[in-house]
Amino acid sequence: MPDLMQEMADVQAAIGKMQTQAQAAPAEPLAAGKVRLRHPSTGDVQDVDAAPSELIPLMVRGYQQVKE
Amino acid sequence: MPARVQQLVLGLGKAKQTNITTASASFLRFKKIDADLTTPKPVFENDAAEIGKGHEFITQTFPSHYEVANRIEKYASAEFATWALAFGLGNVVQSGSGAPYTYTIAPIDPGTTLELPYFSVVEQVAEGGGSAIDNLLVGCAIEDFTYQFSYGPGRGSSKLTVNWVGSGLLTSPSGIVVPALTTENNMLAASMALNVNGVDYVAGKRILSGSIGWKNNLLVNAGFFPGSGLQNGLQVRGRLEIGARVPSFQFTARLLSGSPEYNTLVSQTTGTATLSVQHDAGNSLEFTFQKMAFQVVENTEADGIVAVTVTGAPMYDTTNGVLSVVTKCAVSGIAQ
Repeated sequence: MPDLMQEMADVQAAIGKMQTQAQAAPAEPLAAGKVRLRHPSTGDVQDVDAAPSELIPLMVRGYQQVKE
Repeated sequence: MPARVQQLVLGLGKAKQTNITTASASFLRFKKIDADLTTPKPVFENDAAEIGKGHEFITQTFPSHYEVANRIEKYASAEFATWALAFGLGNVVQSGSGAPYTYTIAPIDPGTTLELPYFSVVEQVAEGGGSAIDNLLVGCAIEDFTYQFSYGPGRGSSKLTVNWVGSGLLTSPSGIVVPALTTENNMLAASMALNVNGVDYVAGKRILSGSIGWKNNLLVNAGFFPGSGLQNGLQVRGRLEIGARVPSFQFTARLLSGSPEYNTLVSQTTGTATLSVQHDAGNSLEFTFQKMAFQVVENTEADGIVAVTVTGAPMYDTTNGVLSVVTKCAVSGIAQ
């Protein structure tokens, strides 16, 4: 049982480390004509064309513009 | 020496506030049509109705809260329309590496937030070497906007009215140096394109007048929550959340043989409704109702010409929501 607990703790620590690295990683540069949107709850990031047909379906679901 | 109301300097926060209590860092100065000055109203209660005093008269007053609200009525310019619709709907994407910038605007998603972006309002009226009015109103949100168009010449053919509500937070004197008047590009109704449920109302020379509206029904009383804050011993709002929002669309068009409005009502046919106006290619406004049925169709007349007034029923489209707006103007950073 203690081994299992330790294993779970190690996994948690590894997940935490990966999340920290992911947050610290520099964002990919945005291609010309693209807009970067991020969902404030899920953290999902989408780079889409700066056209209403691309932007609106994401914006109505809560995605917001990210500006570096 | 008294001051004339034309001396009013009106500054509206350009970038959104970082929170409800931190004032806008940049402002846009606009002219307006209405002469309504904003009064930050401290509201006081009294004990007139309380039992046990021996009479029904007031013996004591008590500080309650601040009420701040006003309207801005303007000829519709690309710059003001961008400002009003960005803060009024709330989710804003600015694109373009240089002027003109494109703003794509949608209503905020209540699953993400209930708070619109906040802005500050500055009102200054110079008088006698000082200021009769110099107020900075912090933490304001848009209650509703209405775009109105009509036949007839001039800027009056295309107007935009905004009602806004404040948190009550007030700095006086403001300490703000309002920039020069914003150069505005007015969009006359003569530039309009209007297509509703597949009918081009401009090509047929039928359209006469109409309006597009959005009301946020802000939960103004819920802004006074325990811990919302005090100013001079009076409560101020610590939040302004949207209530049940209501979009609206109404138009009046000449009634011709074969006009489809009544049949569209009866059959409850749905389709998109797009209305656009522009000053030029770099200064424009386009509303899109993603799914529109007709709710009421009434026969009427305008200048003795038989017409029909249609009240639309904007519906929610599962992909594109209910209303989206695209504007173009040369001002960067609005509601950013």
